[in-house]
Amino acid sequence: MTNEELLGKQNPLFSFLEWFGDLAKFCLRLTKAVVTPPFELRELLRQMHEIGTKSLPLVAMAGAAIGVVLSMHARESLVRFGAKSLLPILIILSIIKESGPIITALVVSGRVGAGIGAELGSMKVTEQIDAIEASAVDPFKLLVVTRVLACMLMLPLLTIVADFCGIMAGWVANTLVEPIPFSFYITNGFTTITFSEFLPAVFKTVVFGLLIGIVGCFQGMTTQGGTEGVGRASTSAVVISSLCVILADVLLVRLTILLFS
Amino acid sequence: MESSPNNLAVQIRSLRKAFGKQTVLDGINLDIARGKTVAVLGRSGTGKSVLLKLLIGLQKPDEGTIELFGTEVTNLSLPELNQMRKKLGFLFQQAALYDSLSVEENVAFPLRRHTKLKDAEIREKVRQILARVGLEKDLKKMPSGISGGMKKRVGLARALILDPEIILLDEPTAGLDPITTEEIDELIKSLQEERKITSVVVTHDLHSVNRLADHIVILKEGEVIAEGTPAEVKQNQNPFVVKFLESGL
Repeated sequence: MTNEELLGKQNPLFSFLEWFGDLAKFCLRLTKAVVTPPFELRELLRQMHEIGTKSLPLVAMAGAAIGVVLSMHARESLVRFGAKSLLPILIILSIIKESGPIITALVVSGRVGAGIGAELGSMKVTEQIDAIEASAVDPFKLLVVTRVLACMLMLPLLTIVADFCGIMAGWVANTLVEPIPFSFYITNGFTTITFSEFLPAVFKTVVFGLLIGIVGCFQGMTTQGGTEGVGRASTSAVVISSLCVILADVLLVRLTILLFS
Repeated sequence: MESSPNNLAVQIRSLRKAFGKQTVLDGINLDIARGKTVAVLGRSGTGKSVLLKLLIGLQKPDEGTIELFGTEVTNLSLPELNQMRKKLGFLFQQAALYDSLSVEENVAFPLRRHTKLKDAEIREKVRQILARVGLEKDLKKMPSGISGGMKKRVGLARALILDPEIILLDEPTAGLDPITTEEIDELIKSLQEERKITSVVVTHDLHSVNRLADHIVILKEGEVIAEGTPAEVKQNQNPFVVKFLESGL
């Protein structure tokens, strides 16, 4: 009896270890492919447009919604404790340090992670990836490296957009209830924000982008089983990448505190 | 197929490929002379498509050797293999056109990747090959907007655009109506005659075999059970071969 039979092919632990091993090999291949020519710059720009520009409206709306919600919740609590003047600080600090990056990553994970998983999965089951390879082109460089790099490059930019929209929407929501001058809102809100708080919060989204890109591409490139497999790849890309983003956030926040506090 | 080694485009020796416990190809030996058309026949799941994928390096054999123009290809590095792949064209079973690219861009893809031709030259070359397959008016259409037969023609144009020395055709007429099948066969035949390309055709369609093949190979359970010219194979008394040829005609 082989080891595979002893362990049982359907054993969840065996399947997880197998998946994890394949993911590790995928990451090693990605690392090698990123640093070896030829570089697919044209496709990278196309993916930056697909992943970045096309996510912009969604990220902007999500950021604005968070700003409004934060404003409504925080106002009620702060008024109760007589600390209404801290409202701009609370909104801006929460958005820049946590809400902006995590909401951006989760929105991109939903839109882009699912898109990458479904697109590559569909290409896999219809032999389009084999066709690229048969045309003497490395599909890994063309499809995977470009998407992962595009996610890593666009996430910080999208986060800045989400932060901006959140802060502006927070002021609008606040002003509708009790008008405050914009200059006061900004000056007051940014008094406690330094670059050592802003930069780690934005740059941790590079890691989020890496996770979303890797998980989406891996699930897509390993799709099996026709259209049903494409559906599974798409769903699992969103679920796993969202989970990875949340877990990575815990570690990165802890690391930021250790390094910058 | 008897031929001097220098005249061989493909030489396969003791080729074996298994997926898990299932052996798909079990010690295949095959020689294909330059400029000839070989049809590979056999029941579904006997490793015909796998044979084509092994030839172009999309899969690695478990044992055995494959020589293309005298070069052993199973152990080539990726850059070396890609150099060899430029001499091969592959028409996939479902054409495998890139969804996100138009017909024109699909056919231009290998040219853009492997030549330094200017944009206008690429467009002209694409227009010419699409005219040859009867699709010069469909340049801007997307793959989702064309029929199965048209997809096969675009796939064929893409496979031929780099002027390959060998073309691998995986069921080029599967799922097509008899008239379109005949048109595709005629197209393949005329292109082969024009360009003197070595062809390996995997098919179930015995009418296509009669129209295209110089040589026939029949696979059963991973082994070659009959081989020869169409006339020789028709004389074969192996019960499987007799039944296969009778049921297909």
